Amino acid sequence: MRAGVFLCQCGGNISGVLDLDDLAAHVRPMDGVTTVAINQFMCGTEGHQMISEAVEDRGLDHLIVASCSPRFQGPTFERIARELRLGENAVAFANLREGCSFIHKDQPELAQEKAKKILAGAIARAQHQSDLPRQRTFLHRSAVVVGGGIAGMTAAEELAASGIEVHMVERQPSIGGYMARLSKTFPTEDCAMCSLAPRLTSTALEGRVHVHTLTEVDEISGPPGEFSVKLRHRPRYVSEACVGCGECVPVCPVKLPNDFDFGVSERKAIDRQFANAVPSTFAIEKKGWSPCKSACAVHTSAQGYVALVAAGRFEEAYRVASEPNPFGSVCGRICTHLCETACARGKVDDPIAIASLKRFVADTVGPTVPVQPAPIVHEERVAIVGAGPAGITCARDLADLGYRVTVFEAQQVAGGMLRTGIPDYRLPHDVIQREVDQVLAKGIELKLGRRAGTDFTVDGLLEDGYQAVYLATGLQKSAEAPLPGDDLGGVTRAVELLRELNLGGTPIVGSKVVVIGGGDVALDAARSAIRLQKQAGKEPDVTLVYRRSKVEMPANVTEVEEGREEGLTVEFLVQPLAIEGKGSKVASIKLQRCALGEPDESGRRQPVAVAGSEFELVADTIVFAVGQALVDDFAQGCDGLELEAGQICVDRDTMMTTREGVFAGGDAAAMGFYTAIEAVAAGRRGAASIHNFLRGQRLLPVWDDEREVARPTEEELAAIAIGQRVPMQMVDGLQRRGDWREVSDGYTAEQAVAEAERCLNCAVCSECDSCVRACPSGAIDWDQAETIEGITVGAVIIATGHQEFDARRKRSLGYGRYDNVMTQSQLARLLAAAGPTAGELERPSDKGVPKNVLMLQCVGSRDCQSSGNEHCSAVCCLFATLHSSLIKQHYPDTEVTIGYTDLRAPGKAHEEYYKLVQSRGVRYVRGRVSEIIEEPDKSLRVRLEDTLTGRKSEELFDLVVLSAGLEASEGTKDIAHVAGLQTASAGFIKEYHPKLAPVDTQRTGMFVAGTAQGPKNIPDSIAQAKAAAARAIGMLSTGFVLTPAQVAASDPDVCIACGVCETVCPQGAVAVTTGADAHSVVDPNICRGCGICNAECPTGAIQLGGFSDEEVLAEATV
Amino acid sequence: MAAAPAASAAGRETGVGQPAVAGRSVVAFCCRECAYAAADASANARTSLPPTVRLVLMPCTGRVSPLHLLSALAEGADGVMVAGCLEGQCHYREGNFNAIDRVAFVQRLLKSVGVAPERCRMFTMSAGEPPKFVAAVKEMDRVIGGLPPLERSAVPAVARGAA
Amino acid sequence: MPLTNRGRAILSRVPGGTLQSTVGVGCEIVRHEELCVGCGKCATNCPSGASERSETFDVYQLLDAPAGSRRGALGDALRRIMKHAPDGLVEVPARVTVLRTIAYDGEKCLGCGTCARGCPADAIEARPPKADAAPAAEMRA
Repeated sequence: MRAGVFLCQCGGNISGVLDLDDLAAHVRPMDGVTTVAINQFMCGTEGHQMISEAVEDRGLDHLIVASCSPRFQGPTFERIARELRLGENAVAFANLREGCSFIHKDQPELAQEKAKKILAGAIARAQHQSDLPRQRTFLHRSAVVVGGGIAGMTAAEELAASGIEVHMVERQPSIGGYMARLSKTFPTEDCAMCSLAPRLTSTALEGRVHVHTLTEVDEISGPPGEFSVKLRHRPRYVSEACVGCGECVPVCPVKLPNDFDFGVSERKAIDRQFANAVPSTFAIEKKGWSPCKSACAVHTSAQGYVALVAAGRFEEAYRVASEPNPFGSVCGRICTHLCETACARGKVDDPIAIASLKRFVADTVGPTVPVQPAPIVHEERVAIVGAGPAGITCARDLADLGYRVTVFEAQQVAGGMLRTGIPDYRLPHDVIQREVDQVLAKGIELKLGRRAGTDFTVDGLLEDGYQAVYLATGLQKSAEAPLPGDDLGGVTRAVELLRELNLGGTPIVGSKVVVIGGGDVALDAARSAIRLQKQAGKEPDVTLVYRRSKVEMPANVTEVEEGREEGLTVEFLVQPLAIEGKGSKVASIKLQRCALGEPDESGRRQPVAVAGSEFELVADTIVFAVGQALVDDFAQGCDGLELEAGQICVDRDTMMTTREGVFAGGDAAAMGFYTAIEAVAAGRRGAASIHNFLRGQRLLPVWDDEREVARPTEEELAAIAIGQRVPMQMVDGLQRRGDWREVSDGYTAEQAVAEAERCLNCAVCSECDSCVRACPSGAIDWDQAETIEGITVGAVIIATGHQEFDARRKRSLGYGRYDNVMTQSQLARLLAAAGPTAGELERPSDKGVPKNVLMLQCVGSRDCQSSGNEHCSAVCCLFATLHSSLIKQHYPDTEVTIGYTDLRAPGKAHEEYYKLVQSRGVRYVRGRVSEIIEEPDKSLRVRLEDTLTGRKSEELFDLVVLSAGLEASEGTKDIAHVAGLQTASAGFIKEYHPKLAPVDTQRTGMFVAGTAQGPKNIPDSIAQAKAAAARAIGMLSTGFVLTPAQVAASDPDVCIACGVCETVCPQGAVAVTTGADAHSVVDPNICRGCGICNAECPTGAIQLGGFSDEEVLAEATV
Repeated sequence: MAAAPAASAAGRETGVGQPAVAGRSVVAFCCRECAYAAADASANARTSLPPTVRLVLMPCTGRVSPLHLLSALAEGADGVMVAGCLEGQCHYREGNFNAIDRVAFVQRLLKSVGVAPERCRMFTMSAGEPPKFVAAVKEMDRVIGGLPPLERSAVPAVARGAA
Repeated sequence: MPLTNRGRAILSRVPGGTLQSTVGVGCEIVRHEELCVGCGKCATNCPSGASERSETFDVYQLLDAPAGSRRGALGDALRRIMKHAPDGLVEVPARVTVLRTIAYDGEKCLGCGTCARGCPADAIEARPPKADAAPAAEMRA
């Protein structure tokens, strides 16, 4: 080695503490040291000259630079070494400034000794430093600009002007950034939008700038010059056909706080952020399906009709509710309403009464809607067997599709189990009849009293010219549960009892009735028995026995409560053993108590008999309600139809039976549909499937349930004030058991609106389709989905901006709790001519003009407490001054006070502006506020201490505006993570060098501009954007870049191909080759030089350039 | 404790808490992204530090291997420290986690042969936390000052292959 | 290759068709721990789970390692500062990869020699079975 040692005095910073002559004398005799030189500033021109001459004159091959930290001037000396053709790894650094003279001023002797050691380390290290191979990457002449604010737009335009293709990525629906939300700008007081709008247009029109809104950067990989960027485009749900007319906005029923206006106004789920937005296309915010919609078997947009009810638009609500389901009034009463079980509001207080709201709209609007016969489009005829919910729904959907449909029903009334199985008091007969009639009015033929297998056969239907048959016969008899004595007189079955009752008969029940079962049918039978007893002049005495507990009960819990109100006795965990008779009549029933055991396959806990707990109950009527069974008459004359375990075999995807052209659904089909709404779903699937079949299409699965469910976060739920469900008027329990009147009255319009207003709008867009109907250009596009796009670019510019400090973190200032405390950004929206108040200053509590305004500086800035930030946010002093000036000019009578910490106005013409505004009568008080208290009239009592005069005062203000500081935006934090960039305080992206490389990041080819880098005003953001663009243009103009020197490399001769390096590399940069001479290989474009592989390598074959074991050990062991 | 012998009968080092002794040396392996940056920042603020600790710049603490730590101790350092980024904030994703485990391993090695494990320590800090760096250096200086100079033998203490 | 009695016993435990080749089954496996670099390839390659990377490390593997090797360098450094002979095994944290002892269980070993063939450090020997039995092909039939 022929090394030169260059000792830097650093203008006294080093030489003031260390004796450099002594150090020179110390190192001169060392092995490998050829020459030693001392200079005042080794990093300056003179130092540069000295080094060059020494290399030339003395034939040096290594440079030992003893100066400041290698993190500061390292690159300078490496460049000098490169220029002198020594390679950058020819330099070894002795950090004599930060590593010694700065920190040991008070112990010069010890510092001198330490400096000798540091120098010896560097010289020892240099012995092992050798030139490192580097690779070239050719550059793509394109760039991605992340963030579409003023900095991003400026950078994009600069790049485009140099002929570089630019992808501008913006997370919001429009570009414009923070500047689009400002009212005016200081110090000129010109309108922000007036200077921004031409920029928006020119950026949008620039052919080389590709604007991607609603887009996220998911990944950046690859080497500089050839970055692979993965973009994720979120759906806008509005196509480019949008003409921007805004007809959709007033019809959208979903209101939410307008985030663009910082919450000072409301917006709709379909929205455009501001008038000059680019693109001008509206956007719909949709988070997936609401929990209620997902839970519903037919996926009714429950959030949609609830939102429309809240808006008082009952007709439209009915349309949304009835679109997938013809039985609105029915389901509004008897549905198992899983929507309510899933409702997110239920986690806060009570779920929305979705079923009751549906009943309200269906009852009030349903009867008024005229129904026209559906036009016949297809010639095929379809027969439907069974006029229950599945059959009627299937008939309706097929009629809507344009088929000729005939429904065959065995009974003399339509409605199926809804009609014959559910008593009047729960579901009035006229309600079901009306909804069936409305379906039939579409031109569907109904043939009553026609039983399949007896009056006609399925084979016959197909011969008669029906091209498809849908079997929806239901389960029309009670299931049998053999029990000793079940043939005695007085033993009946619930399905049969209810059918007799509902078809106009009066079943005879005794004076002591026991109902066995825990389903809805059991409760219907029990509560009907109470009414039958009362009608017959007996005192009601009905006992329901169920072998599990209330939790496992399939029936609706409110049913049990309502039954108890009517005098029903319920015995849980009791099972029957035998029915005892007296002669041929029932006398009593023997029962046994149970306990709950382990869950079985269905997940329900099984009852286990408790020995010795047998007891007897006197009874003269026993009603079995332990399930239903198929009446399979229709199978007669239906060739090839197979049954399985008492139900019809169907293909789960197509609902077709084993007989071609014959479909089945509802309770009769082996699909597991057991409730009314599931029967409706079965009818819809049947219709879709029959359509597929008849149109010659392949029978594909006709239902797609795979949607993302939108749920509010725990945080959002925690912020909701606890309330309760609007109660529904009920008929008194004892009174109602004497008649068959409906037990509940339903909501009034006022109650319905009040209840609907409780909805949390989980999915934001409620999918009510109001916008679809309102849009004149047909631009709403529900088929849009998230897409991923991969692009390759040469450079990356990060301009993701800032956000306001969340002033709620300063609890004592009352933001978020007091109406009249707002932030400067919110005030900017109120003062903006295009803002929600058209520029009028309104006090939030009463919309009046405030007379006395306090602006409070440094909220969340220059604040060392854990809730705040240490940095100065740079713009707040003038932001507040600007707003004060605007208020003073508009409302000369309003007093404005600014409470500041230090007034900072260092920018060009800023101090002059501050003096001007002060002369306009704005009062500046140097002081801090400890607490703000809200008075009963919503004005704010503030204790203010003037720290200049020491005077303490307590004043009342109408409005307090907090100058909340600037923090890195979420987008900035996210991109830092994605791009692997370092961040500094408050999340701002760290520049490569605070002075010398303010727009470079530590990753080559990635640059930063605007407030993503730190708080700054608009001109500074623009200047920085232009600087970042210039850096990118400069880099892309060179044609290629070199891979970094500091990467790992493997020596194939030493490598044993054990593969440990491949396992430990966090970047996936190492791979092991196969074959006889297998060894590891490092991709220098992926390797980022951490050296983990080097440390783990069991043989030392893999070494990190510049930090090999030899180099590190030489330095560490001197 | 102050009067505890430098080496106990069991052959283990004790004596933590003895007054600081000049002339001890500590090698600090600092990652460029955080610890070295924090060191630079504290130095630029002219914070005085004990001259015991000498920095060795590393790209990432993931580069520091047990060999570096043991060799530094064997070749004259009385203590070694590794200073890296905060957990979860490694510039290279997880190098500091590797370093934490390796330091723990070296501590166990040292303990098993009777050397005070606190001669090898791991510290984490962000670039924006110079006081944490200063505290780490002072802590190391205090601990090493409280231990006797690390004795070294020129010849192997145990013959190769001995059990 | 002829089988030892042990090889025969092992082969009788192996279900038919599970071994690619029976060549070498029944070999005596001799591990030279002082040469081991801890890469764990034997554990990865072992078809029967007889070799596994353990959670502990025998410090003598550093002290006994050959000069010039990486473990030898660690051992030399340790030897200069040690106060007494190692106390025994040390526990190895998760992210320390190669400084761990490979646990070898002779009971599970088939003697197939895969570990020896794949050992990049030549630390494993597979000694052929003694020629006291019938050839492998016969045994399988």
